[in-house]
Amino acid sequence: MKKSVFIFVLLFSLTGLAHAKTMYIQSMRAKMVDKPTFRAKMILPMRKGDKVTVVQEKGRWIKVSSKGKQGWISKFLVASHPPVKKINVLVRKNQIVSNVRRRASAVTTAGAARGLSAEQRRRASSKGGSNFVALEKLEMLGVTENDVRLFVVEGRI
Amino acid sequence: MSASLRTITYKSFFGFVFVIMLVNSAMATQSFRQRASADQLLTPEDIESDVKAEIEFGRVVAARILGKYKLSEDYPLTKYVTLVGRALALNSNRPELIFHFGVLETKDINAYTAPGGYVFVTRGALNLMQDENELAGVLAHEIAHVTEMHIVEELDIKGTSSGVGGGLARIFGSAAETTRVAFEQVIDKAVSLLFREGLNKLDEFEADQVGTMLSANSGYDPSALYRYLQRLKQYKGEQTAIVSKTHPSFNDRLIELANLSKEESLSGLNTKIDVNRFNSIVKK
Repeated sequence: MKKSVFIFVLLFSLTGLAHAKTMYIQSMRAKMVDKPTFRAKMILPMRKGDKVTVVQEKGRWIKVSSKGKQGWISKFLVASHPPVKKINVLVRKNQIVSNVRRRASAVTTAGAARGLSAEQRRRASSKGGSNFVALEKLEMLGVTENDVRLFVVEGRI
Repeated sequence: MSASLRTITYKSFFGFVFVIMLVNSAMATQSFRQRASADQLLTPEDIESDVKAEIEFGRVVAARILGKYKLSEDYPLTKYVTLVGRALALNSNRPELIFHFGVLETKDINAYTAPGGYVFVTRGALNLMQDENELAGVLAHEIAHVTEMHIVEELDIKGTSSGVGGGLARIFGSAAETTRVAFEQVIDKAVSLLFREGLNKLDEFEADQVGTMLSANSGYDPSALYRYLQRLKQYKGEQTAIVSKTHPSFNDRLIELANLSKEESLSGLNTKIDVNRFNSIVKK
């Protein structure tokens, strides 16, 4: 009886670990490895969107548990929110964006841009000498995600 | 084990467990507060909205960079630089951004970044590079400025309630003309950071560090940026005037990179990257 209580209480106390920080893989690929180093042995290949529970932090590495395994991944591959889909402002660049948020965040300054139309932004920045024609040419370069994946494979990166 | 000793042991055990539970609870609360404070409980819509603003802002800064330097019309070169940059970006923590990479037709040796994923490298810098790993090292440094949001944060940090940065949230709530003037000021400030003042030195060291880790995570040689900076250090005069003015000294950057290499055992992490394509496109 006492043994059961013992185990129950132990398990209950460990549930506190469930409150540990949850993070999500943001990079296309990530390796869970057995030591916090690039030379370590891979335990589990991970993919964008995989959920991990952080159990320890050490320098530029975090120890995580995921899919029943525990190991280390680079802390630069994760974020505290699930990956956000690609955001393309070009399809709506001529729209006058309303509903400017006033939330105080790191991008409040940038957020201010939303209060201006594309034309207003162009005029506002024309004083310093801008080249939107060249910029749009660059944005329309036409390199696809498949091109990038092929490039990675062909280059043996 | 005697009954009394067992009782004491159980008491100690339950006491220990109770303490663990309290600590776990406190950690959970603290963790929640930290997350709440860091992300302010952002919804996916909030994140998307912020990212759109960051890109819109970055576009205007990028257009100003292209107002100063001519964008290369060498399509194969631009495509190649874009492919290297996007191969790195695939392994960054900002999958929501579409990174754009351009080559600037100038002998100046430098690279620039605008928020939201706009990255430029000069023809002078490309001429100095010896292989794709070095190009990746430089682009990864610039990508790190974007992922760590250095320019956006610098503008907020440097601003005061009466200055360019800090008072903008209020300024933008006012009439359109005021908005236009304030927007112009913050863009000027961003451009000044790029060409004159430079970012906070710590941000530059961080970009070296995050960029080097990004190179390694992407399969590129993480020592390449070190090699490139060693070569760049030998150049004096016009070509390096801006990079010298806006960045920490090459010696300090090399020392920090050497420390990173030692801490992470990066030395000798050789890669088997196709070297021919760099030579055929960049050194043609």
